[in-house]
Amino acid sequence: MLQRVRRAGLLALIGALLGACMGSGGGPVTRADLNVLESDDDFAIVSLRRGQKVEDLARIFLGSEGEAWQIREVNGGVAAKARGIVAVPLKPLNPTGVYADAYRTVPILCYHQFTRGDEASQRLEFSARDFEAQLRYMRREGFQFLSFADLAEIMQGKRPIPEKSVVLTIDDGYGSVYDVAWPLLKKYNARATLFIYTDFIGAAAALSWEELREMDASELIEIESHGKSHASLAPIAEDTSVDSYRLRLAKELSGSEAVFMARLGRSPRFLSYPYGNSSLEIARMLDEVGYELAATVTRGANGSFVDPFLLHRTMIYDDHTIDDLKTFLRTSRQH
Amino acid sequence: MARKTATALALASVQLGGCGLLLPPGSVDDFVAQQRAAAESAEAGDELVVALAHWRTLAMLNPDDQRTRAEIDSLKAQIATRAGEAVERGEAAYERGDTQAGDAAMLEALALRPGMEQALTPLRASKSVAAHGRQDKKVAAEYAQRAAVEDEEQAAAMQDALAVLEQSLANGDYERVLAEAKGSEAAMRDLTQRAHLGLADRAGKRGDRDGELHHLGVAVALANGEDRKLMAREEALRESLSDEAYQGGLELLQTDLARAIEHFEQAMLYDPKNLAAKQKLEQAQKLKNNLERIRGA
Repeated sequence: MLQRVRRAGLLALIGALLGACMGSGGGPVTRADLNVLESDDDFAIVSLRRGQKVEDLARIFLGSEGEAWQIREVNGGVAAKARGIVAVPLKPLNPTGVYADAYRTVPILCYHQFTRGDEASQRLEFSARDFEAQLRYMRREGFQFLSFADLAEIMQGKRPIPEKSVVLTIDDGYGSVYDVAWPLLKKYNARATLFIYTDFIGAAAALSWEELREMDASELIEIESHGKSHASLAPIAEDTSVDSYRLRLAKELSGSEAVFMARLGRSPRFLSYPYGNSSLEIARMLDEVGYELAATVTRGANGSFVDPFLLHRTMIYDDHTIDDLKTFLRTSRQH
Repeated sequence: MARKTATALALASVQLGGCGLLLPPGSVDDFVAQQRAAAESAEAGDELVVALAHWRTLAMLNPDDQRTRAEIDSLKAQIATRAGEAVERGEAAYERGDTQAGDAAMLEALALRPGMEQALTPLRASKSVAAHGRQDKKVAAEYAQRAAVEDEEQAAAMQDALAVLEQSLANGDYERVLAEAKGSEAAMRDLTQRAHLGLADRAGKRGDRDGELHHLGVAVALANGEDRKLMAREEALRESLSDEAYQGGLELLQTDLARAIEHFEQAMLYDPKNLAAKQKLEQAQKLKNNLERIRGA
């Protein structure tokens, strides 16, 4: 009898331990499921349990599975084997992304209009077929689609530049963004930043505010400013004095902001310069009124130390091939 | 019974090891070996930040390991020294205007100490100046290109207008030429001058010598005093008109003193160098004054 009781107690204990071991019962791994051996402000040392992956640690400690590269970086660059011990960086190891012989960069691509078919009727139009081919390529190659908000955090040193990342931007606010690009962005779970000039919205060829609000509510699309009237924000012939130039800039920025407030209930944080043209004056003004980043159309990728108001951006034209895209998606540069 | 319990315990042990409550055998050793190898490899590749991270994770598992502590201290000292030296080199390079060397040194410092403000701030400033320079060049080039296109368009429009006006001039439609020839371009000035000359000739033919003089005067002004032949023609006309007025004055001197004075004045207006007219005008005015004084008395 005593033996039976002892045996029952032992089996109950084993059962309880095994129950605890099963964790959250087949659902996603949570912080409570982890076996953290040691931790301080900078690192956690975790012993992976059966079924747990580095991607789970990235999601739990770093906010996204896409950040798993940070864990690999402090574990000799190799994927931790199942049931092994893994070091997890709790702070970015290298927030500026500058290494001994090269530095990391983030390419920004700039699109304008899209067509449903296979062909584009003008250089700034991009066919749905080609856009999907580009998205498929970037997804397959493991590129993270960053938002401008992500980029702002990188520029502020709050997060590191990923191994492979890209920012998609779409200028102007053509209706084809909603009809053609938006379904593809959803299909490939690709983030994009849409820069609109507010005078255009509601025109026949443009997006409506309803469409913009729908996309803005998603996690995939950011709606930001491309000015009010699409006038160049660099000095132009009509600017007869510095004062008249400043006045024109102030009108462009405040006009755009007023519409953002009225239609989307918030101010824009980022801007893309119409025609990609900037000046010291507009860069200073953007900084003063609280913008965080602004993009030109000067081709090139961005290190963490570039001027945040003169980000490089590469225009995508309908004659660009996947091979062209590969050259635009440069994610590191030798010193 | 005993065998059954042993089997259950063995199974549980495997399970517990698998889920991490017990560490899998050798896993710590594997981790230590992997991190040491990675640290040494990173250090060999001069990636001191990464090497330091590897050593620090090892120190967390074994805080008393002297070799690990020594590696960490050595790396920290190396990083501090080399980053400081790189910043000094960068500042000196910027000082002498060598942006490329300055940027390279600041990048070297950032590779050693990511986020180091003394390197990041000047590097960002340097990149910003270069980027603004590129922007200014781009905007200036586009501006010049636009201006060139506008100039080209204006030049084409000017050629069209000149052709129309040349035809009008050939047709003798001088009034139209004067009405439509706008602008200060040399070709327009030439057309306008020729139209005034045409009108001067036409006025001369119909005996309107005042009209002829007016148009000749404008034509001379448009030539900016460079057309001597035209100036001579105007001068001759002025002298002729001045002499005519003078002669008329002489004829009236005995009969109508007031009108005679008007003629002499007119003669002076046509030709201020007409000394005879000047002399007669003074005489006539003196005479007139004397007469008025006598009448008044």
